[in-house]
Amino acid sequence: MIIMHILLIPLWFYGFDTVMYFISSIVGFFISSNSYKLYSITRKKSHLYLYLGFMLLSLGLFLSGFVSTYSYVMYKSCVRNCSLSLFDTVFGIEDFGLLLYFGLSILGYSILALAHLPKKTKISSLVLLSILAFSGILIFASVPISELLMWYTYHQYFNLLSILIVGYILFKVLVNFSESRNLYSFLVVLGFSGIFVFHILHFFSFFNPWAYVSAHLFLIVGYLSLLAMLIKVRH
Amino acid sequence: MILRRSKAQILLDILASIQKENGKIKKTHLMYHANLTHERLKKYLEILLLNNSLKESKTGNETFYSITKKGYDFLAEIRRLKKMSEAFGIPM
Repeated sequence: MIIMHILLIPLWFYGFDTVMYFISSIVGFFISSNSYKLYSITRKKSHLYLYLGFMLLSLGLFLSGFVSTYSYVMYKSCVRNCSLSLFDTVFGIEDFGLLLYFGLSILGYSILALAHLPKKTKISSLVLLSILAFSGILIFASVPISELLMWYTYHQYFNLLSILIVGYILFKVLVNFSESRNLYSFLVVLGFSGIFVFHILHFFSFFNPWAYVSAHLFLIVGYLSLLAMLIKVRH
Repeated sequence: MILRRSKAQILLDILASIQKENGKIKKTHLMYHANLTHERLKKYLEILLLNNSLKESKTGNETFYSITKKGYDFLAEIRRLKKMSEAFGIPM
């Protein structure tokens, strides 16, 4: 297995990705709070899942934004006046924050997928957690011990799992759009398409700097589409 | 196929029925418009009266229900949230 340590990020793009993470996170919080209102009226499990799913995704994105801000600030200060040893702490925070981001996102997507499961499917949250735990054990087992707590070890697994889960959600919202044919469901399709393409392109960020840039553009387009849906619904 | 209405959908139907009748309706008419039995309607009316979305008044032997300002706001909010829920492919 080839383990890559550095994402290829163009220097001029530093900071833009952070802003995109924060904006996406805020949009996620808006959707989450509206889903909570919905749940408080209906008390339906699927609405609870919608609320929890977006809440976890928003927390993850917020964390990712915070970590990238931190590492850029540290990187800039190091370039000016300190030795490379300071990078140890930078990577320490990055590892912790990004691993948490990966975990929160996978859990968030999985809960959103639960909300889209057909009613007759008897998959409980316990079964879902077991599948996730089993996948986690398989991944951990394939990782060298020295790389166990490094964020880059899990980057590709994280994106692959996200592609699978978001792919399922995208399929479900596409089916919904083909039935309802309205603007709101179209914007949701656009939203999840953006998130889906973000993970595909992010998977290739180790190989091409443009993959990183375009991935983040798709991420922001995705979340802005969800925001547009929310604004349209509220007016 | 017969689809059961959710609690939120029934509350929406009750409020929408009253709104259609210019904000005030007889209890018997409401049963007919909202397609509910007397017992079930009573249960939902209690909820709406408790959260001040409806006001009850009596004229002779007839009981009337009218929507309050809070009720109109609640109706608008349920309609918005219903659109959002359906946009995600999750029926309310």
